Amino acid sequence: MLNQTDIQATLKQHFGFETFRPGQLEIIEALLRGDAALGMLPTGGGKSLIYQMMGYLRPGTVVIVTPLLSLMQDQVARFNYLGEKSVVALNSTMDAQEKFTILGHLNRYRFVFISPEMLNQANVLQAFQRIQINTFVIDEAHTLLSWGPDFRPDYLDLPRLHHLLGAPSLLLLTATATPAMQEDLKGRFDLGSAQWFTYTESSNRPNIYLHTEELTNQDDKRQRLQFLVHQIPGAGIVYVSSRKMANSLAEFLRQETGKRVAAYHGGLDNVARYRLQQQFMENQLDVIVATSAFGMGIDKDDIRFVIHYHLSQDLANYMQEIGRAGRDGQNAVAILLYIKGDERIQQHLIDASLPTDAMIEGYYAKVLTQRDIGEERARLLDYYGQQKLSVPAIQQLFAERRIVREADLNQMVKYAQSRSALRPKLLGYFGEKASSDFESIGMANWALTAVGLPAAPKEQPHVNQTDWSTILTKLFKLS
Amino acid sequence: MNPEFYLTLFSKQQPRRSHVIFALIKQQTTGSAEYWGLRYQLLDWFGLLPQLRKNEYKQALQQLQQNKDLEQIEPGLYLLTEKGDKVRMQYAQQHYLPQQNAARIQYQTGAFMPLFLQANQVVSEWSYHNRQYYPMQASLKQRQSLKQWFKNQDKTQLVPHWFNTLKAFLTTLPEATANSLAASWVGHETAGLNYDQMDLPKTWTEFDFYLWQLEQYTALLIYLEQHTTIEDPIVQLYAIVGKRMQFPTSLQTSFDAAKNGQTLVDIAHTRQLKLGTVQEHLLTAAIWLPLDQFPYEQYLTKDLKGTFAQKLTDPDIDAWRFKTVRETADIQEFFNFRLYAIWQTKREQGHA
Repeated sequence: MLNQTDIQATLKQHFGFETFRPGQLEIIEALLRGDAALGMLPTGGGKSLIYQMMGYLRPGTVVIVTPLLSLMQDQVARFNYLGEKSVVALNSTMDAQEKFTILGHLNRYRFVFISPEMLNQANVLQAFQRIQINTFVIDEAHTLLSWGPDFRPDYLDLPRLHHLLGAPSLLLLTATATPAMQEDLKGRFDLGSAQWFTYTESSNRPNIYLHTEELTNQDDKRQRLQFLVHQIPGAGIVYVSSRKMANSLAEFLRQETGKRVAAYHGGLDNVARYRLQQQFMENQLDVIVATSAFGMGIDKDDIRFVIHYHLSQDLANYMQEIGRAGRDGQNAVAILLYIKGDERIQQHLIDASLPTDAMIEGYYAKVLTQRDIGEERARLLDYYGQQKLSVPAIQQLFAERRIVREADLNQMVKYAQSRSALRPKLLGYFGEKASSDFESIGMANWALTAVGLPAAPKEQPHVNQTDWSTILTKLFKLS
Repeated sequence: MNPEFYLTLFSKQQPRRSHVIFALIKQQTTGSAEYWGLRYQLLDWFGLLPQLRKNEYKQALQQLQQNKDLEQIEPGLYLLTEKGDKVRMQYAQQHYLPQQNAARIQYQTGAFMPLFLQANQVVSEWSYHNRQYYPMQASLKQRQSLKQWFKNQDKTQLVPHWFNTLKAFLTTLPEATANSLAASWVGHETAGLNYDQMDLPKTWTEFDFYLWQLEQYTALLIYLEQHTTIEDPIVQLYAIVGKRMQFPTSLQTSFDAAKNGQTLVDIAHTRQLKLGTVQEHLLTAAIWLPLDQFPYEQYLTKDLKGTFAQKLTDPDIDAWRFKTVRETADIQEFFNFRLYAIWQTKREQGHA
């Protein structure tokens, strides 16, 4: 058994750190003594270091189930940056030959990132059954509950897959799970003789100032956004609900605020996304207007503001998104701009993702096809069909999901409309208590000085197009 | 991509089959699709969008129909409307359309481009002796090829050699083009610019920029071929991709045998292939080769041409039907008919 000195030495050798952040060492020790662990650490709390450390502390492959392709690719880039080469992301962008090669040599990789859909393929699962699994990690583990039932059913299969892999050492990581969600998650896995170790850090981010404003119409909201983006110094993210909106607001803010603004969403190709991330990291961009569905994988720790131009799906997602601000521990601000009816966008998303009773009945009776009800809904119904549930039982299941999602959305709306106690409402969702001394509500109560932002970093020169010979000289240190 | 781009591939006069166009741009063709690609003068668009999904394409066409830009005259067969033709022209003014499409296919620029971008980043970081950076994303295959390529490089010469070749190439481009191309490159403490951050037309989309880049990298590959040797690191990098073989080996073997005077029946017998397969090989060769590089006279005798000329009188070759000339069940008849149509098409379109 490794002792604390060995663990510290590994930390120093691979990461150059002397000490752990709260929870990291406790979880590592639990895994090393054979427990399964659930780590609830705030966004930016160093969750990925835990499984990276496991990769160095004992043999075998660390398998990390990750929800988003972009997050997966960013994680691989981050591992590469740290000098780790035996890492791969198994995902749908690979061609058959590439996938075959990787599956044939899985044991050569210390870290494998994979989506639940890919892991649920028979030949993929077989390949993983042949290797020694160091730790089976489910990153963003709350997605099992929030996405599994009505968006990505393969998530629901993860406990079964974990069992089929011989119940290897299990690590669930999340930043946003209520106590009830944590219990639900733990209850789904068969651990054999292993015990659960749960480490819960408060979700609270006391350095993030909370502020909400209710406005009367779209024009006012746009103007208010313009004012705030112009006013608040430092790097920021504006969250919107669609790509189209991201593009148009980015253009508007560029023209009206004079700041360097770019739209960032899933429609960008890999190279374009890479360029924007790097520009943002290097402070050549001030503001990113992003869709919430699109994760930002590269850590920028000095983001000073996150403004929600649209509501998040629920408070858990809201927490996750504002958690990108102030990771350096310095003060930052999270602002939500709301007008009555904004919830309709999220309501549409709920309606669009959940199949109706008529769809469920029609699809199983083969009166309706995938074309009629949409690819995503059909996949979901195929999954439940395989579980041999009756049509009324499936209709009931989706009716319950709708109630849960609408109730979650309602909590989000209540937060937006709240006249007091923002932090207690937000933290209350996670079963925590908090005071409301670092927040404000309404335009009249907004004062930038109350946030106490640190001095903005030195602005890097504007990225303007220059002549090619200057670029070549800079790229290759030659002239 | 704007759906209006697809209007570029349709015509106001010639009804065109949507599935042929899809097969061409996706590079999923059959002999018949390639023949119609020749008829539509769209062979140069071959393999432009290998990732295109059928649903995406279908939805775009539906939208164009709803907008009354395209008219379906029978299932799957479309004509540009008067309005659609105007939209097509407007699209051409506001967007980028490639000029060197045929060279792009030959040089396989689409595969070279991401490889170059990543190698360029590697060389740039190397020139600063920096090993700690976020690499651009690449497939495993690409990463492995690149690693092998890098290992084989003479590290004392790599940076100056790479730099000098790029410098010499950029000098051959118009100043603004060279500036934009270099601005897109990623390297040491250089994030590079996206198209909407450059001095490019404001009406452009990411797709226009993609097509524009394909064109520039095709120009780079042509430049390398004309001005550099295998010693050049970029040439060695390109060797990972290489030029596209004009025809698959089996087709080439059939075609070579035919040029050497063997009959199609003999070729089929010697190569243990079906006669229909050999005929398909020859027709494909005829479709893709210039008029003077295919031995039409071996098959289209004076008599045969005379008969066809008498029977196939419609000036619109698209309207020709095999049943008009069919006499027996001999499959050679279809071969002759199709080859005659190819020959006439090439003459009509002024192929050299």
